[in-house]
Amino acid sequence: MRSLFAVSLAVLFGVSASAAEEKFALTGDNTKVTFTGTKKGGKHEGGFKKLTGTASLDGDPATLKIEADIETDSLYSDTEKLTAHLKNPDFFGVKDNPKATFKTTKVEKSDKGYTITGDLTLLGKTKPVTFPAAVEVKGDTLTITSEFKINRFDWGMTFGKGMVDDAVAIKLSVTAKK
Amino acid sequence: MPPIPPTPLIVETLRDLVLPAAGGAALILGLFLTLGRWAGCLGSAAAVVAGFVWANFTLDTGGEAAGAIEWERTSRIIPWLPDKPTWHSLPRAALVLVLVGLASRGLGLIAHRALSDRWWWVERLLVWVPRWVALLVVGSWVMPVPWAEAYPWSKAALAATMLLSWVVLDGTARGGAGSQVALALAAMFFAAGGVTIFAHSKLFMDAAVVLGAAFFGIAVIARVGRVDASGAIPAGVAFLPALLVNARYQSESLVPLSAFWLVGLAPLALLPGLIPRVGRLHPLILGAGRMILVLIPLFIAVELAMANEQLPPPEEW
Repeated sequence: MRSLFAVSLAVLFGVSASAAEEKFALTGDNTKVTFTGTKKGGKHEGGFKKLTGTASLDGDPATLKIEADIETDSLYSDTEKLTAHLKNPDFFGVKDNPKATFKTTKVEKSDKGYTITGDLTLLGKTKPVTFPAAVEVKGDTLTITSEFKINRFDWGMTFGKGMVDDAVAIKLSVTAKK
Repeated sequence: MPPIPPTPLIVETLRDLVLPAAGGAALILGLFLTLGRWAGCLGSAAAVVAGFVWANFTLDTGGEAAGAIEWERTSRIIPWLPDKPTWHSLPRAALVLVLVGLASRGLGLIAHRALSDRWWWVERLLVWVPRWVALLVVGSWVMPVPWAEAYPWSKAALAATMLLSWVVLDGTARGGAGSQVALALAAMFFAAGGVTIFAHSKLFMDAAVVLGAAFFGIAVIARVGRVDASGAIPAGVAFLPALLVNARYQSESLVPLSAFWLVGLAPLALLPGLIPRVGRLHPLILGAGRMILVLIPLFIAVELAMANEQLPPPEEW
């Protein structure tokens, strides 16, 4: 009788725990991943139009989990010629690497919001990245905003050494509804 | 006229690509020739491998690649171990063809000494059957998978192109024009570099420049030593069409397909020189004629690339 009661409690808590977890579908419409590459006396902006994934959390932003697949062929930039160049093996090599992925491994509360750590796979190479983010759930809407920099050389994107800056600024903006 | 590349880029390319490839290849061939002219074929094979290996290491791409010398960091343009992309298999394909080329030539020499003249066809079979088999295997490594699936004949077509190129280049080199064949291959690879940079791919341009420089180094030493240098030809046979096929597949540009074909098939421009009547022309006229025939399609190809596409902005080179 006692064990039956324990099992019932476990099931009940299990159900309520999973019910508390909120899932948000990520798409190219509600999630904007943009980048800014800089060089001496100029810069170029671009981003990705298509991605799929999920963000889930149980109310506390520190429990946030993100898994996203970015379609690299959906890349765009402010210059048509540059878009074509960014798609070839000098940069993203979209034919060989049709997807870039991101998966969170840790989210921690920080002074100015949250610090997200995750594995970013670009050009078939996976490297950990850590960046600050503002995470908020209001009603049925999850918003995440972040700005940070990555070193493109860490993923083997070595074109234009000394002419195009190593660091690339990334902007992430999510406004997803349940 | 397209804008001239920035001076630091020219200096860097000369220092990290051209000099190591040309110098490395010339040094190795020169060392082999100290053994005697008989070592020219073997030496040229070793020279093209050494030139490529040296320049593939010295190109400093920065980032992690510039760290301590470890196995993974010794390949800067093309990895030694092939991964998913088919262009990663280019060095392996070239190395296999170079080795098969040397081995089959050895078989041919043994057959030549062991058999009487009426068995000449056995000698030819021993030389060319292994080469054809190797080309069929290598052709399947370097053809981009989506194209191989869409056009089932494409692997065999690439192998056939390589075979024809090999027959023409080998025949010309063994006919006493070894240094000229190496020089023609250098011109073909430099033209391939021109077409691929207009197709917005510095990576493939770098690979083409390395091979072009290595063949230039071989051409100079082969000229001085008067050797056939045919051992290096298989590297060109593998790299030239396969590099252009992969560059075309990978890049998005307005460079027309014909520009890639013209460079890839340029070795066939040496075919008229193999016609016995043409081959009896004065060596100077024959040599000049061969180079003109090779350079015409190369100039047209680069001109087509320049007319249809612009270089990446100078600051992005």
